[in-house]
Amino acid sequence: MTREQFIKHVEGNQKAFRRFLAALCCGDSALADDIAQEALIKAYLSSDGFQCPEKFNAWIYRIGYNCFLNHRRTLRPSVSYDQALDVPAEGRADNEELYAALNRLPEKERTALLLFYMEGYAVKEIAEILATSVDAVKQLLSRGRTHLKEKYGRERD
Amino acid sequence: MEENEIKELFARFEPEMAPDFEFMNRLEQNLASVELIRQRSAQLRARSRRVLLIATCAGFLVGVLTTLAVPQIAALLAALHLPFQPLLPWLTVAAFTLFSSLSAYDFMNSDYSLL
Repeated sequence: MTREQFIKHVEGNQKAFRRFLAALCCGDSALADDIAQEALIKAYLSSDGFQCPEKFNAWIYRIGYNCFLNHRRTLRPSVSYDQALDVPAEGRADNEELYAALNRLPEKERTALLLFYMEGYAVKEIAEILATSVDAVKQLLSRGRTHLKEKYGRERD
Repeated sequence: MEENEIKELFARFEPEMAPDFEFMNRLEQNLASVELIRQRSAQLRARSRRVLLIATCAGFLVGVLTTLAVPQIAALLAALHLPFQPLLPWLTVAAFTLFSSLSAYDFMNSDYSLL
């Protein structure tokens, strides 16, 4: 895939990808953009070997999710993610309750919920992105829904 | 909170993000830098292959020439009355070969190289 083709592919889908990462990062859009850039560079570097154009988006989301996990791992020894999220970030105020509720969900549940409800991915595609089984995704979604209802309800009260 | 409410909640979700053109400009710059690094690495790999080839050729040539001169070297060393006489000419050939290979490698990597 040439650079122009790659940019063309990304241009149409970057907004949804960034929105997904912003929700995953609980509203830190600057961090989400950094992770998106890192993920897209990684994708570009391995795009020569990529064979299925129809799965391009799912592939990008998978790389983005892995970059997010790597970022969390590097953050963990010094600062907790909750502490990092205490820093005011651009655009966080409007969705404060949702971010707070999402932040209390385990990463995998949060990702599964976002991919399912926000991006409209099917369970099978989510399983590919998260590198897990379809049954596991169904469980994640079920647990995630219950947890989100509890946490979001609590945030609103 | 019902299923529909969750769907609506995420449908309404619009985080404040940097403008698209800003993100795409940054991405294009990053990809251009990646491309530059890729090209530079490919050039360096090709150059290093040429340098290795030249150093090998130089070593081989000097090795052949010194091997041809083994009788003369042996006579010269015999006159010096050094120990290990049968081995010394071949050790000299090996030393010359190694030295010429390494010198050619260093020279080709230096600023004076035409590569």
